[in-house]
Amino acid sequence: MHCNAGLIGPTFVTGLILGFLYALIALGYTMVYGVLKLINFAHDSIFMLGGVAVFYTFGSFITISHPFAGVALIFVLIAVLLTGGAASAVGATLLERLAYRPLRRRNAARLSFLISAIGASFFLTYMAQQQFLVGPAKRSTASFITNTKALTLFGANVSNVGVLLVVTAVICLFVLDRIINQTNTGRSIRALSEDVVAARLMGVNVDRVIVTTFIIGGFFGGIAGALYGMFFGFVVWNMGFILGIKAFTAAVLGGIGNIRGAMLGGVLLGLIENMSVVCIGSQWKNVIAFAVLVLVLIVRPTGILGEGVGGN
Amino acid sequence: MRRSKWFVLGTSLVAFALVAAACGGNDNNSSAGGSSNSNCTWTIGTMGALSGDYATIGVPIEQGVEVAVKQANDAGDVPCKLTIDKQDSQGDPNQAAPLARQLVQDQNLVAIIGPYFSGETLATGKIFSSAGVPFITPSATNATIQDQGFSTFFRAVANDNVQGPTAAAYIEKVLKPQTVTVIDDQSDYGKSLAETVAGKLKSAGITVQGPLVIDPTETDYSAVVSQVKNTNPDVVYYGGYSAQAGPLDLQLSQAGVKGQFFSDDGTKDSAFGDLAKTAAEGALVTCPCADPTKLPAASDFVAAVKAQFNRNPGTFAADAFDATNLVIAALKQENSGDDVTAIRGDIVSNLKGLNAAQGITKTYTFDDNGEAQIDPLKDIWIYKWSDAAKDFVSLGPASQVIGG
Repeated sequence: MHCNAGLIGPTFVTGLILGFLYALIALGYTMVYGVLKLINFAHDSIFMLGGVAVFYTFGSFITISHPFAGVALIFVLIAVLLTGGAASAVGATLLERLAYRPLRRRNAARLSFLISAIGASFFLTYMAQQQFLVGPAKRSTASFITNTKALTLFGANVSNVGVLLVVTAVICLFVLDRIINQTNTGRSIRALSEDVVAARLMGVNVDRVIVTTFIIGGFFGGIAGALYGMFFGFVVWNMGFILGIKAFTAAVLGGIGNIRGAMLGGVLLGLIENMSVVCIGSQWKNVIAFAVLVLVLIVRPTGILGEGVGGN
Repeated sequence: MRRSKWFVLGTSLVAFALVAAACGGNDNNSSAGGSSNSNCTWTIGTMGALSGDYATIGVPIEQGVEVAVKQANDAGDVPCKLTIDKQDSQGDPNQAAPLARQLVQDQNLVAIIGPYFSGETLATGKIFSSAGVPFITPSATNATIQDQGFSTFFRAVANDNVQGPTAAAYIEKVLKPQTVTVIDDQSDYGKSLAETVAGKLKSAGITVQGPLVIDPTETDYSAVVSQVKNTNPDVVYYGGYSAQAGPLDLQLSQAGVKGQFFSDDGTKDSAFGDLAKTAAEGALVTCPCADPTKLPAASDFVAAVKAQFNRNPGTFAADAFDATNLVIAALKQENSGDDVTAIRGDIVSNLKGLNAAQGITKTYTFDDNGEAQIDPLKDIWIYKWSDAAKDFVSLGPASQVIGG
């Protein structure tokens, strides 16, 4: 084992980009957990829905064969991100209606929610694997943006899509933070996460707030799905499997239920994973990342920033 | 509480039912045209991906079999009419095993061309060999199949033990690199190829980084890509399949790695170009598959495939044609009333006894394990991705391209 100092810069940059993708997905896990104390294991397939919706909308429905530039590109990118976000938000709403609300109405045990979540995740993921949908292979996404080098940072080439990913993620995280901390909806969400009974007595419409939470988490997951398709150049039925676990880990690392924690956890996990190759091989990256997770949780059992929506 | 449990259970069951229903293989019995020789029929079974993810690999192989059978039926010199029983495994070992059990029940089945992939061959070899049915794979290259003790197994192409050294020789003598990075996907296939190539290059005095590994279930290879970028090698060799090779090549190119991308027959698939996008052009692969359009002996075959399927023969189609013709040649020595079990045994001993039997791609001599004798330079071909052709185009057999 010998360390290669030349790798520190490039792996920092690539890890950071990956980390922001984790962070965007982690938002969905952390928000639902904050409100329902439920780990929404189906969030990985909600993320996949966003990527797949973009794949179909801009690959099959509107066939785009040439890359855009300038102002047109900005509009196309906004349309792409909104399409992904909207599809996943709709998916998340349906998920809440069909898989969680019936259980909540009957006061089901927490374990039933968990199994329902896993069932929904498998259902959606394996539906997408069917031939008439995405199918079992990786599907190349439409090239409406030319993936070129935008800048070189610490010896790492960053593509324009990489820049887009980071910028979008930062905007999303900032907007969400404002929503949670400065709007009425945000106040309701925070109230619910602290005490459901008290919130209901104070006139908070619990069902509506829960749906809103799912919509917001799904929306950002869908944006992450759309960015994934652009960044890697393909979508695939099981694109959420590994990323979902990583994002969930990021949420726990930062403090589950805590939105700023999800941001921090995502970026940290991406950095730890990628920088593990500086001294050791990449086959060790998951070993190292998860060892760090356990260490952090031993020192701070509630994650780095602690639990609680709103980052306080 | 009780109802919600049933709801979850029901949802899962529906999901499973849907998955199971969509995964079932379909068997199409097709008679392969031509005039009937007599009232009896002999069945040649095939097994491989005719639908699903790997159909682009399986269908061309199937076409090679169909052309051979059609020609035999048209010529009318086989004692019984030949039919093909196509089993569509989608290339999945789990689907292949039950299909194989069903296939060996056929009382007219004399031999099988296939299975096409290594995994399904390993999964079905025992079923075929204990039924005494000869099975000749024209395309499964995993180098452990011959050691499984499948008594009726034959392989008409080079296995991966041959491909690796040829790839290394090409890299050393043609690309003449100073440094090479070797990457694999940790699969039996990719890992053994990568290790062979790395070992051969090291002993040729070339600086080798790796083998580095990627996790084929992940899609972000940035950690490995950073390592490669740091070394800035002249050649990147990847042992694995197109589904990962494409994205890997793209990510390498976006990171600014300029080295030549080089891979194997698992990557020789049009899906590679789809996924590698702008980085695909010029990528090289080795394949133990001859390009029939470049072989004078195969011109009739190329014309026949064009006439029947309106396309050029695909990867391993000519090898499947050869394998089928070896079976047909053995069948010509049988009589129409013979017991099928005896015929199966005769085909096995006939194939084992072949000495440089002439096919269109190469000559065939099988060893005790059923492995065809291979010339590591003449029988391994080099292909290069062309964006214009949207496919890999052949540069020629290694013997020509390397030049000795």
